[in-house]
Amino acid sequence: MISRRAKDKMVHYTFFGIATVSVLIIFFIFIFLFVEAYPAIQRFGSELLSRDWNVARNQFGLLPAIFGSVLVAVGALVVAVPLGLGAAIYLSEIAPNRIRVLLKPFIELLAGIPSIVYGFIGAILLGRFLYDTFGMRGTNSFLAGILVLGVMALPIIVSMSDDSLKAVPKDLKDASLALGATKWQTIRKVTIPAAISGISSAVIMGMGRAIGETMAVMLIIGSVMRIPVPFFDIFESGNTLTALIAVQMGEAHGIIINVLFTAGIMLFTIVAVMSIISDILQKRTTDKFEGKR
Amino acid sequence: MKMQKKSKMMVIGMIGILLVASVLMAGCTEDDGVNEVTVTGSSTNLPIAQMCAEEFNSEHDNIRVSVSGGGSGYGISAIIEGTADIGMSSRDIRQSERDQIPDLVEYTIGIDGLAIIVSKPVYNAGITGLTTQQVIDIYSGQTNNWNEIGGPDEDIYVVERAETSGTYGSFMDMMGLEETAAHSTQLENSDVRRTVTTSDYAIGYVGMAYTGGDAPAVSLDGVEPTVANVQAGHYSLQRNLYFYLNGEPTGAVKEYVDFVMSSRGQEIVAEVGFIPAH
Repeated sequence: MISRRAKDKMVHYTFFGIATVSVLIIFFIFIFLFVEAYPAIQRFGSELLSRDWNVARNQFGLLPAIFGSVLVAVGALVVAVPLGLGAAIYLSEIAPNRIRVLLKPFIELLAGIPSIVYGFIGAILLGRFLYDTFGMRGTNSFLAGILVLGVMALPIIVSMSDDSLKAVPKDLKDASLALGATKWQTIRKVTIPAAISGISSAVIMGMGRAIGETMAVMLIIGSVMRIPVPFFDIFESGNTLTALIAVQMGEAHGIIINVLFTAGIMLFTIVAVMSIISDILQKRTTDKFEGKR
Repeated sequence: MKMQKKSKMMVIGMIGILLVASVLMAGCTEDDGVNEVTVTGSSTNLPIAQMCAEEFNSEHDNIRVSVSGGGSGYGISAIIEGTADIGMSSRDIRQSERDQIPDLVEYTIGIDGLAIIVSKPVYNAGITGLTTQQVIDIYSGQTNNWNEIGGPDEDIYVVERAETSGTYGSFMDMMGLEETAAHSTQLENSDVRRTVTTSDYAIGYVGMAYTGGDAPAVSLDGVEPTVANVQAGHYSLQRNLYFYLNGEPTGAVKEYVDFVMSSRGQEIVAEVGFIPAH
């Protein structure tokens, strides 16, 4: 018979092992990306950050794709955050339980729809709708990408924000109400600030989905390596790092494969930088709420 | 005690499930007496190889031909790396690739005519033919509006294939272009077709099998992209489609290649919209 202490040790090491494996996997992925990207980085250096892309002339400036990735992700958040946060507040604070149990599964179902389905709806219906409505040149545009990604990020933002709003202790809200604050004042001044770390991580997750999304974007963004003029002209077509990799990888050979791996590293880096920034922001807000400054 | 017994049972159960699963999975990959022939590469050749494989497989119980896409470059590199038996390519093999395949064997399985397609409203407005120079001007961005070449007063929406695709390479070579002013880059022929048909004033280029219906093909320098014209060599945007192998085919691979090159195989080439090689 194994002693209780030995069992505890076993559990400890097993979980330590599991945690190490997942960290190692990420580590090895990064090493692999870097090894595959190295020939391109060595050969082109800072040219990879320029805006000139022409495969025939061996010009591999990735700036248009980096710009596009950031633009669609930010745009998607502009669409998804107000909607998502509003829906989450309604679900957790205002809706009667009857409606809540009806609505929440539907919103969570949205997250389970495969991205190719979103892409197809975007390409066939939304692209054409925007084309007719705004008299655009063609059916591919940043705008279509932003709208589809916004909808895709929505369920994550609603669901996670709702969970964190729900987790705010009832005491806090009761105290606010007892002091004579209205329900809206309580939501604004107490519930949301208390849940802000959960809400920020919901926004980060939504952004992560928007930046990393490939299939849907590839079908509607146009995949051309050009920064629109002016740069906020979302009616133009463009490219994202993910769509660039997906469209070009199929028949790629030679140095361009290494260039595409460089694009992969950039994607990785953008997501990492964004999550660090939001971590800092999150820390600041929690500190403030807890009265540390 | 009871709990421990239960958890032990669970561990034993899980190991059992894993064992069964691994045996089952091994069974899938093990040689079950069927000869597997793998064909991969250009998406242009894909419908030919696929249709031939379907008919071939139904006639041969002991051979299974599986066909997948991925592009000409991918098909050739699969031959170099030995990950497929046959590499499909819609462009001539490059010298750098040829150097890596000591016993290269080439079969021309058919001929593809690249067709220029336009959106239906453009076609209906009278753009039923273009000259090579007009196509060059459109793709290089010098012609921006359909009215410059006798069409409606609408901006041209220029659609192209991915720069790494064999079709893009063929088109650019045949047109003598080095860069384009395209507004949309698409992964496959079908994506180009979809983009052209969902817009009203678009132009694109696709394999001849992908034309018709909502995506009418225009004539080029007065020559219609038809089977007869391509076979006679009158049409300018045409190219050979290849099967590349590393070494003379034997056994099941040979049987499949022979089928594709047979008169029935070449009939299938025509059925899916290409021009038979012979």
